[in-house]
Amino acid sequence: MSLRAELQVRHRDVALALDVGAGETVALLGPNGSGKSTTVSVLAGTLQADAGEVELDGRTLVRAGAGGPHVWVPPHDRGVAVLAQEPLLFPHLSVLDNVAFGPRSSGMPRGRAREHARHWLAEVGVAEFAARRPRELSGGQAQRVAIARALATEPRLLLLDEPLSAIDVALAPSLRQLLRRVLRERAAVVVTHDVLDAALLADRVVVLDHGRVVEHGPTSQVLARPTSDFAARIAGLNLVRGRAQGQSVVSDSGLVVAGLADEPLSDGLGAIAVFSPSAVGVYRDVPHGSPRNAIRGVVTDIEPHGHQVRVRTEYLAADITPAALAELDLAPGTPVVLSVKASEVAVYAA
Amino acid sequence: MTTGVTTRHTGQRLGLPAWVFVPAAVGALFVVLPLVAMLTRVEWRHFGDLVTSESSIAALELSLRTATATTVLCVVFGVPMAVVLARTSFRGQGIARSFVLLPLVLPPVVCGIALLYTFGRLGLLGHTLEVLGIQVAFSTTAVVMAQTFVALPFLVVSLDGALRTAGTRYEAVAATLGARPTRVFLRVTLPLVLPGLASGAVLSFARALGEFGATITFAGSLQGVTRTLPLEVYLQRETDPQAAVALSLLLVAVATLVIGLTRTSRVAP
Repeated sequence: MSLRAELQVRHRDVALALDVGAGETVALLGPNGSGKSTTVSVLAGTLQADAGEVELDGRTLVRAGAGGPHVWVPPHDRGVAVLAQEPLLFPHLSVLDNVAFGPRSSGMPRGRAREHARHWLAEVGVAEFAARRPRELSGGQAQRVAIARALATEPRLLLLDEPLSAIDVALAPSLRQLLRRVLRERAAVVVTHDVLDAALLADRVVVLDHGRVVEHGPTSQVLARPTSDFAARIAGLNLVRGRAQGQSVVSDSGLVVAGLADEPLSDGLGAIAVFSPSAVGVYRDVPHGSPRNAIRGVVTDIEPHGHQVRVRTEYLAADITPAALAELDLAPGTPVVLSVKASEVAVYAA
Repeated sequence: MTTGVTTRHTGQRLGLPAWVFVPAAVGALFVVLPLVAMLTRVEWRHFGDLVTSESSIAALELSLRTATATTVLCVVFGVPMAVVLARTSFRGQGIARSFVLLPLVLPPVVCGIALLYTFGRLGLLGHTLEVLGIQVAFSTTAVVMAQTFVALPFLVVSLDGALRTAGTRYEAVAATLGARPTRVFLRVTLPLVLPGLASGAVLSFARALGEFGATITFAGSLQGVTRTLPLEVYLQRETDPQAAVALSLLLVAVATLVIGLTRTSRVAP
């Protein structure tokens, strides 16, 4: 185990535990204000925890509250590097000296630090910009330099706080590939709200809500079988939570969704039904003679989604073609019936 | 009624109400006209002699020397003061900030009296200093102290502002890259606020150069020891108005030069 953290920050109502194995990348997901940035700040040492313990590679970085003497290792002594949304390259230093800043800070002589910096600039593919000033770089180039600068400190833990959210959409894929490569053998925590970041960068996913962990597990499992609304949303899935009844899930609001369960469910226990919006059909009236789930709703929102149109109702979303949309003449407020085959619905225990 | 104004940098046209130009022009005239009036009164034939007299040279030299020393002291003490004010929070910080700024609004003569009752022979620390064999009142040291007292807030205010504007994000990044607080301060904080520090230092220098009230109260007016250029101007005004005007012009020239130099160096970093 590389990182073992238990932390509590009262004024932000955050109380959670987080582990990162050696060489493992964990994605921290959650809606705004769920405690992701607070967690990163406590791990980086820029925010004090009221209580808890943070241990990195067997060394205690933070111990606060009950139990043992108070410990707080300052940020510069932690071996924890942070890559933020914005590159935040020092504007008064050249690209090379920005990357050499970390090694220089740990006492490496100037010549060797610059050599080291050149190596990392080459590693992230921006070696030719070494002599430039940060203001002469594009956003994507600057973020690459910021990655090199963080890696050049050879951190024990790398914290990435929405590293691609300020990057041009066209440049994000190549940067994501770069991160995928450099994170492979590294202990890292990636804060993100992008399913691609989670899917491509993280081995494991931890979902936060209101400062608590609401779901965690291997990335593929969480994205395929989410148990939290947030994970379902970023995975692009409809999620109905309720109680099992045979192979169906009955929600508190009275929705009944029949599906297929891999494992037998006990009636009355918590269960979840998950299905893709593309498996959902939209009708004005209940379709006849079909073995489908038919769920009534009112359209709340219509938005473009790739080549299709996503129609949202109070509980569920459906992807239909623009032609179907025109034919159905839908607008927010229109009552509709959503229909999905039971064979398209995965049902599992919550 | 509006008029189109083209801003210098963007070429963007902003609608300014036309009437603002009237008070703006009046204000500008009010600042420029007295300088012009002074120029008309200079006897250019004797200008050279007047500004190179022994007492004038002594005063100019003393002014430049003390104002430079003051600027150094302002940087040495003002930078840490600004950093503490801008980067920490403690009980009574608001009160501390107000006290630091007090000399900015106090009449200089009051500053002089305050200094006299602190460091003068009969002052709070006067006896202690005397025992140590130090007498500061009515010495060049006193001139520098008086100037520092009134000039320090200028540096603290402009640097405090620059530090708050710069924010702490770069400093946090530097720390997570392994830089100790001293290295962060020297390599990140200071370089980022260098323009603010420079303008603060220039303001302090200019304020020190023009200091009169606190100096004459605390340091007196001894030629070559405490009689700086403003004091010399005031003294000459009684006996030789021509010399006073000439020296005033000299003071204006030095001040303009200082501000001009720093402006150009800031435009081309």
